[in-house]
Amino acid sequence: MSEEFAVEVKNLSKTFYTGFFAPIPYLRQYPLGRLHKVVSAVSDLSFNIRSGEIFALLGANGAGKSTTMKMLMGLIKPTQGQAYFYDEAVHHAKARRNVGYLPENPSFYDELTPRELMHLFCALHHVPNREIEMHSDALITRVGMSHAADRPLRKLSKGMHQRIGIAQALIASPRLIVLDEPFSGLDPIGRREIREVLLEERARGASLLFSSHILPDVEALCDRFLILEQGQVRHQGSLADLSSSADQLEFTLVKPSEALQQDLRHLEGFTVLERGLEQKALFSFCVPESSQQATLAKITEHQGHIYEILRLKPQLESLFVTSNSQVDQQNSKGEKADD
Amino acid sequence: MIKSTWAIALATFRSAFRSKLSVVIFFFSLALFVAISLMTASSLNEDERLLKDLGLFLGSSLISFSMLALCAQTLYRDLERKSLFTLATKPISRSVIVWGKYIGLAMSTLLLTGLFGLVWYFLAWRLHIPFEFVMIKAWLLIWFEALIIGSVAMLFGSFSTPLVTSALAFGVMLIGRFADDIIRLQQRAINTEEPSMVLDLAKELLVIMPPLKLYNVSEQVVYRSPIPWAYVSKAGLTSWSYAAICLMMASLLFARRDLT
Repeated sequence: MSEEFAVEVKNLSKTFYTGFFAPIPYLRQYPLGRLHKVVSAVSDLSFNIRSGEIFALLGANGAGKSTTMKMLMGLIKPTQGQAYFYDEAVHHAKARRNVGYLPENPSFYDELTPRELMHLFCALHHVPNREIEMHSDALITRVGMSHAADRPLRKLSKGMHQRIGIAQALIASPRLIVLDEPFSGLDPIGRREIREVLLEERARGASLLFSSHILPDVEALCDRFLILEQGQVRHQGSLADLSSSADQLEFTLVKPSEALQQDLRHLEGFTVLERGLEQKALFSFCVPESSQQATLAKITEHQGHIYEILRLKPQLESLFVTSNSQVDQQNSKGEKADD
Repeated sequence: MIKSTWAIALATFRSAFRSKLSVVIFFFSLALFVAISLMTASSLNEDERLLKDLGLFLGSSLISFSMLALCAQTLYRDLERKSLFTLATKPISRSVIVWGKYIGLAMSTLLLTGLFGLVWYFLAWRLHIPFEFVMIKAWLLIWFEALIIGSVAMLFGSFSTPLVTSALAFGVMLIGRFADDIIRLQQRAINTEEPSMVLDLAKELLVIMPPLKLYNVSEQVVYRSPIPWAYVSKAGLTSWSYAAICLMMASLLFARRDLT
């Protein structure tokens, strides 16, 4: 029997065309129609989420996380590629019957109350009329908003909007919950409460896809993760793989010569770590443990001074930072080449 | 689909009814009606004609402009405030959003028309003008006209900004209201045997413009000519049909749009 996927993404890409004539694809082939900017937000993205799994999309600002989620939720049409929720193409409205979605910094109709808003969303999820009242009240209570259920939304804080956003994503007990920055705007207690709600949903059997900048929350929740950088997959794996993978060594040298720096850059898996201005005299980099001997040999050869050597346990944060550093280095190399 | 459309319509109606814009429009209109009342008080034996003529003109303009403003900004504002993201990701098609929002705003405008009508009847009662059923028909026709203008604004608003939408919809409104004069102008041009391509094109364009002249019955009201129910029904049917066509086109365009 084949494995059931909550989400299947195949070669998804999105290119934005901006400019006066950009909305008319036919004109793009003519000189006048070429007066537009082309921005590739997501490029050739593929991944799967198994049923019952918690999957995290990570990446720096502008990496393409929100664009990916919007494409999955049918807000944006992909330039190419396909995506499916439980084998149903995402651009069909019925594919979203079993999906709850929380956008980044959710905003609602300010003049309505949370209770009225939940009634609206319950109706859109085809909850039977006789159950709407009960269902709305249960969800409002679940996210700790019963005390403000009848206050206009314009009078509620950002954190309260976030809680209402999570409540509406849980309407009709969805099989898949897609959350864009679910912990944004929440205080530590709120974060813990929402984390518990999400874990309860997982225990119910729901699959979760979420993005977040708060890496400890990601580590506490997700089974697998994907790091996006400039719209492309930089790393994809599971937390289990991460903890079993080899350790990294962080070397910090005192004022190494240019020749040593150049030599070190040829080491396999070498990554420069960015440091603050106050530590400009120091040069830090990471190498895999397997490169330890080669690294030491090069430092000795160039008579470099070691300030410290640290053993780094593989953590999501170090992987995230390393991925970003690698991309920065590639970019600066590219810029130099362009120059 | 009907349940979803009605749910969005109800939420839109509540939002519009509670918004500051509606309150401002209503009190501004009230002030204008009071001004009419003062003007009629100072006129000699012309109070009834003035109240009917000016009342209908002001009512028609304010209700049409309110509907235009509300419909022109509804989709764009929801997109700007990101409230559309939660709505559009529910298991509904985007046409449900377009229709639901339009129906909600049409309900708000119906309420506004009813309130204007009540204020007008109150002023008429104070000036000892006898109750005339024909005024109800006139107010109903004003609402039908607003439905058309609102649907045109929804059509342009499905792909454009409120400013551009308002300008385009206002242009259509003007052409629709003065279509007869434009045709007369064209006939005069033909009579002088100077055929113009621009005027021929204008004639073709007029076919797709809404026949808004149909909804201006102030002459009949002032001179107490009867307005048969058949006329009101025909005008209503024309309004709904025109609005339906505009909304179907708006739905098609809105469904193709990236919501970023």
